[in-house]
Amino acid sequence: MARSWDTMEDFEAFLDGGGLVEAGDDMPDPYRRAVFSFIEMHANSELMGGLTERDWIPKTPGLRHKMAVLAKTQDEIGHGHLLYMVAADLGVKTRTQMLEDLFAGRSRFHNVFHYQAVTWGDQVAIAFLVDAAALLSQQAVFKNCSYGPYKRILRRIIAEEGFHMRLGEDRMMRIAEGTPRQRRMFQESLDRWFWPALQLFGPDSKPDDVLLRWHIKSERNEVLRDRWVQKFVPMLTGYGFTVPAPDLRWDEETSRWDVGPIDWAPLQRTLEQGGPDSARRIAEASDNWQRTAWVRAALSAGGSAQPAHAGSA
Amino acid sequence: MHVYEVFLKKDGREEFRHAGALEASTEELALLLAREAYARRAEGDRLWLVRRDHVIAAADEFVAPNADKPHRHHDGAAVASRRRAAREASPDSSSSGTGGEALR
Amino acid sequence: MNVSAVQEFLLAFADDEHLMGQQHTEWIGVAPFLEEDLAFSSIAQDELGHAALLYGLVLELDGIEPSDTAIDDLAFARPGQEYRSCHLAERTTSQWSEALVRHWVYDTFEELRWGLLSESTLPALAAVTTRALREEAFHRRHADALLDELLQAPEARPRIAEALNRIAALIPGLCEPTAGEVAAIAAGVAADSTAGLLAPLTEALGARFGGHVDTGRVEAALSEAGQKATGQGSAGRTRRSKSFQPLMTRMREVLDYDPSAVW
Repeated sequence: MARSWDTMEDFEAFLDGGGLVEAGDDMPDPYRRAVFSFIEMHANSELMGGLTERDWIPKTPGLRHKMAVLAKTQDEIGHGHLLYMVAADLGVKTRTQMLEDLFAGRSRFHNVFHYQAVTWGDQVAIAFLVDAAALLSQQAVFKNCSYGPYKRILRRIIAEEGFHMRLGEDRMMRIAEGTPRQRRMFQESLDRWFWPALQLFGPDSKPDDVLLRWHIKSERNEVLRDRWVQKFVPMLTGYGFTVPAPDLRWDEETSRWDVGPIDWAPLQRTLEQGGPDSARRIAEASDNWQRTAWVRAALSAGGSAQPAHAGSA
Repeated sequence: MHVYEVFLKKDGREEFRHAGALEASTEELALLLAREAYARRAEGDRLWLVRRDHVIAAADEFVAPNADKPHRHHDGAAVASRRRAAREASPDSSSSGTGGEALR
Repeated sequence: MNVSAVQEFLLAFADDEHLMGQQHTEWIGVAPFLEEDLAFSSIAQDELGHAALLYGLVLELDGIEPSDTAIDDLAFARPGQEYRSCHLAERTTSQWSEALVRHWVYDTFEELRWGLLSESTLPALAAVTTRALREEAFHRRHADALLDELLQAPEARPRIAEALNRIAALIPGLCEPTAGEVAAIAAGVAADSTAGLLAPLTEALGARFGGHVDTGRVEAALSEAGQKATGQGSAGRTRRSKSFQPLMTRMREVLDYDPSAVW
């Protein structure tokens, strides 16, 4: 059942009342584009995150360990798949267009996946710190998300991210209890990944953020970022690692950890595809995509994917 | 390529539920790929696929008029009020019974 | 029962499963489409899982608890000459056509190979076989479903043909038995020699690819192997191909970083 709204005021009242928008609804175009861009970036990030992890999967130390790590990355690619399907149904771009834009460097993905995992410790740091940051963001979106298909898919994504968190924490604990060499490796990984992970939440939300107004996000960036800091700073120091923030201090008055001023320049560079590993990352993904174009061409020769239609989901 | 809608059911519990969609060029591939995309943790033990262009979708406002049929929703308010009235009229009768005696 | 011979027999299967699973892991995120990333990755996980179970059986024959650490010692820490893998599983490729054709060939063979073990006198092996055969049915179906499509497509068919030709010489090595197989058959661990699988594998290859692509090179390789096969084991599985060492170095990179570490 498709619905339409006469004015933006009506639509916003519907959203404020807890209404859920469905794919076939005649939603206002600015909302459609905002939801689409948000889901597209989420999808791109899942896929590029999977590719960051992929570098280390064949080197995973241990047979059953490798199965678990591969299952995790399979989930991340699977999330990309779920999200691209949902995004395509908004009718802004097809799934192929989204992938081609991504591989041409024309669309965005999270800052953290513009970096390279250079050691196994980085792989663990990603599973532990970055996945936690992503999970906090996704939980906040899920809580109050006004776009029905996204909200439903997030339920599954969040459940799977829970497995990943526990896997990451388990691996981190083994390292924390491990040899000096292991601990040193992980400390170096922390030094590389702490700030990018923290910046995943983005700078403080603007007062007029439409994502908040339209209930796509439910919490401000700075609130989520602080929640992550309060959880991970004591956890990392508790395991005997050093948080790489020179101005880190415990604020007696607020009883909270304060990481000090944040330099947002690195985040800005990743948004412009100028992160430390952006160029290699995108070129490699693009190359792999082109090298298997013959398969997609052969399989789609029988017909073409229908555009999204109103009634189904 | 076709888009397939995926439905999963947990045996003995719940109804079939929409899990998501995927693209595949044949029914056999659609089935095999759906198994890994939506049921790799055995999220359901029954799996249905429906080609999206085979879904028969009702037009807008097709169902809506049926929301306004109060005669199909006997809410029990009339029964409750008559029972209450009967109880008040004869205080001796059991309040927890069916009330059949009192209502006659 | 000659335990060390039976162990060698089991190691050949375990090593094949391990290296095949390893090769499949390389495709996560870079398969031709997202659904295929998920499907191929599941197959990799299944093969690695079979390897872990088979290595576990090798350990149990020595009365050793098949812990993750003990399994990993077998999987990663033996000298190269002690591996019994076939060269098809050792081969590294960056071509998806080759990965797909090998996936079909390997899983077709694997299904036949498990078939020799379902009545095994080792109850634990018979149990692993039941589990593995349930999963294998889907591996074959997956490869067949893709090949059904791609062999019909004029632009894809030559790529499949080329991939088949590139691996043709390595296919008979799948059926090559280890020396320990004789003892395994004598003890009823296996019903028959893997050398006997050459004929059904040849037949399956003909049915799958014949009529679509020129299978001359594969047939020649298989028939040559058929004339040599004695069922007594030959040298192939005791020698490592040139792909093996780079593969092992890649697999061991983290383990070698700190040999005393537990990850």
